[in-house]
Amino acid sequence: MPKKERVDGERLRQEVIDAVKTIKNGPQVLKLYMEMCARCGTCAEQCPVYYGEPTKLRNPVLRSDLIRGIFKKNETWTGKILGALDGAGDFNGDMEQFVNSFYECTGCRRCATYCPFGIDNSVITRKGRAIADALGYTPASMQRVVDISLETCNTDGASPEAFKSAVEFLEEEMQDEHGIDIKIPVDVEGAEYFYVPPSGDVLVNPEATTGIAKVFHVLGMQDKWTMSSKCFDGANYGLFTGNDADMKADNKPYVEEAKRLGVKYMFMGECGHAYRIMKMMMEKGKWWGDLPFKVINCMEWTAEKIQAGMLEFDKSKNPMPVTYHDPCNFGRSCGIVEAPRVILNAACEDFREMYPNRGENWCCGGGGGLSAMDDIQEFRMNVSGRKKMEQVRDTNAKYLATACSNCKRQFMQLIEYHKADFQVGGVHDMLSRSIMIDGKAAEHIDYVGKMD
Amino acid sequence: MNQAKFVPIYQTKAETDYNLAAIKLSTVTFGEDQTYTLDGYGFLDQPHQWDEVFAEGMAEQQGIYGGLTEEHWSFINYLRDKFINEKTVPVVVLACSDNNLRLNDLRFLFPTGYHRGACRIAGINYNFMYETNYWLTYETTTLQKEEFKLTPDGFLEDFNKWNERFAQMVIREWKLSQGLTDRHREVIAYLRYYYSRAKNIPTVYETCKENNLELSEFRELFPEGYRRGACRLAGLPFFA
Repeated sequence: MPKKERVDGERLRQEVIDAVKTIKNGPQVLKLYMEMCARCGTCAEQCPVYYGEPTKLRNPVLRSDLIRGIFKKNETWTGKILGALDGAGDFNGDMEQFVNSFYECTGCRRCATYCPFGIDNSVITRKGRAIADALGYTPASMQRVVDISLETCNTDGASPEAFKSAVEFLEEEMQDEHGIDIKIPVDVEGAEYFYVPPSGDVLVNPEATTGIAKVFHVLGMQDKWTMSSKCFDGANYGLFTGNDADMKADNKPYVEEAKRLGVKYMFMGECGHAYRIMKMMMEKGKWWGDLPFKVINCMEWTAEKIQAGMLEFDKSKNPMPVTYHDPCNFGRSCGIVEAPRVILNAACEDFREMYPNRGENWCCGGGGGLSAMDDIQEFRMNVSGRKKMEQVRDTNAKYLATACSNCKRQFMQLIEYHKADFQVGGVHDMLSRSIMIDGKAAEHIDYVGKMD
Repeated sequence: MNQAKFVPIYQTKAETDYNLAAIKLSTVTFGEDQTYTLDGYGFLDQPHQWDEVFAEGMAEQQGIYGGLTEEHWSFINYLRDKFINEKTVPVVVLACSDNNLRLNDLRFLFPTGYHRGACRIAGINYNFMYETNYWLTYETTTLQKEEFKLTPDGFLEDFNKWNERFAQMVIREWKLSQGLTDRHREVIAYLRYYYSRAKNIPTVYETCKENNLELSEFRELFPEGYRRGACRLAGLPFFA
C-alpha cells in the first residue's frame, strides 16, 4: 500500500472544503445531521470527554461544527445568506486542531442516545477522520495498526506458526487445569462455527478462548468449531481511521476464509467493533453479496446454552465482586446487553451493576481506537477516562469484566495510572474459571496460595 | 513516510516535542550506589544501563522477595536474548510456551505480571514494547498491592494467611547473608504446629531444645529475638 502524502497550504484548505461538500451526495443521515442540530447542548452533558474537562472543542456540538460550519457555508442557502448567524463558518486552515479534535472523540455514541433529534456525532467524527485520512493526517500510531493488520491479517503481526504454537500452549494449559484433553481445532474445513476473536484473546490474555473451548467441549461439540491460523483477529482499525477501503480490505480475508472453511456460522468473539462491522455493516450492507453463513456472537450463544441449563458452574471459584462494563459497540450499537449478564450471573458469586449501564453506559475513554494511541495517554487517563473511573470505584468491584480488548487496554492503564485496586478481564474468563467439566471446575492456582 | 508526530491539542506549542516518557524521567539506586534512569512508565530508560544489580533491585520492587532464582534468571535471559539479538518482545503466551511454563507459573515467578514484571526486570523499555506490540498493556494480571494484613507492630493479623512469601518479606528486613534457610523453616514449622494445637507459644528454651539449637545460634538466625523475630516470622500473633 503506498503511503499517503501529506497535503498542506491552500490545496489542503480546498481539499477539506471539497470533501465536506460531498456530504450532500449522502449518506442521507449525515446530511440531516448537518442541517438539524438545535445546539441545545444535551450531548455535552452526556459526553465522557466533555465531562472530563469541559473545554470548548470538547463539546460535541462545537467539534461537529468544524465540519457542519463548512457544509453550511458552502451547501445551504441559509448559510450562504445568513453566514455566522446560521452557524456557517470556514475551514480555518488549522489541520492540527481539526485532527486532534476528531481524535479526541471516542465515538461512543452516547450523545446519540440522548440527543432529542438523534444526532450521532460519531458519524460526523468518522467523516472528519476520513477527511484527515485522505489527506495523510491519520496519526502515526493509528496508521501503524492498520498497516500491520492489512499486512498480516492481525494487529499483532503474529505469523500462522506463532498462532499454532500459542493454541498448542492453550491446550496444554487446559490439560493442566482439568486433566483431560480439550481441543482447540485449527483450520478444520467443514466445521460449523468459525471462531473469530480479537488476537489478544489468544496471544495475551487467553482465558476467553479457553472459556469458549470449554463450552464447546461440555456440549460435545469439540469437532464442530474451528479457528483459522491466518484469520484470528477480528479487530479492524479501518473503522477508526475512517478509511472505508482499508476497512473492507481488512474484512475481506475473513469472509473468504469463512467461505473456504465452509462454515455455517461466523462466531464472533469478545470484540465489540469486530462484531459490529461483521453484523451491522458487512452482513447487513451486503459488502460481499449474499453470504452462505450467518454472523453470530459468542456471548449470546453461550447465554442461550446457560439458559437452557446445559452448563454447570462452581461459583465459589469466583468469590470476588464482579462488575460488567458494557463496551459501547456491544451495548449501544449492537444491543447485546443481557447475554454477558447471564454469563456473569451464572459464573460469579457476587455480580454488581454499575450505574448507568447497558445502552446508557459511559465509555471507558479509549473508544474509537484511542486506546491504541499512547501518545495521548495523558488525555485518556485524566479526561476521557475520568467518569469511568468514578463509576467503577463506586461499585467496589474487584474484577471488571468487559468484552472488548480496547476497553481492557484502557482499563489496564487506568488502574496503573490511578493506582486502583481491581482486575480487568473478559466475560468468558470468568466462565473459564468456574465452568464444571465432568463435575469439577478448573484447578486455578493463585500465585499467593501456591507455596502453602 | 511522511507521518509527522501527532500532537494532541491539550499541549501548548512549547511542548511540541513532548513525549510522555521523556518528561517524567526518574532515577533509582540499587546495590551499593548504582543509579539507573527510568522512563515515565518506570521502565529502564536506556537498555545499556542494565546489569544484574539492576535486575535484583528491580525484582525486589516487583514483589520478588527472596532474590532471583535460577528459574527467574533463565526466563530473564531468554527475554534479554530476544530483546538484544532478535530486537523483539515475544507475546506472553509464546514466551511461556518457549520456556515450558504455565501461565500460573509465570504469575508465581513474577507477581506483577509479564510486561510489568518480567520485562521490566529484564530492562526492556516501555516505548520499545509499545513499538513492538501495542497490545502489551492488555495483559491482565494482578498489580502489585498489599498482600498481607499486618498489625501496627508488623505481625500477621490472620495466622492462617501465612505463606512463604510472608516469611521472605520479613527475612528481607533482617538482611541475613543466607536469606531464608532450612533452619528457619524448621523453627517456623515447629512454632506454627505448637500454636495451632495449644493457641499459645512455647518458651524460647523449649523451642531451642526441640530444634537442637544453641541460644547463640538462635540469635543469629533471628536477630530480632524470639517473639518479635521468630514468632513474627512464623505468622503468630504478638504475645506480651
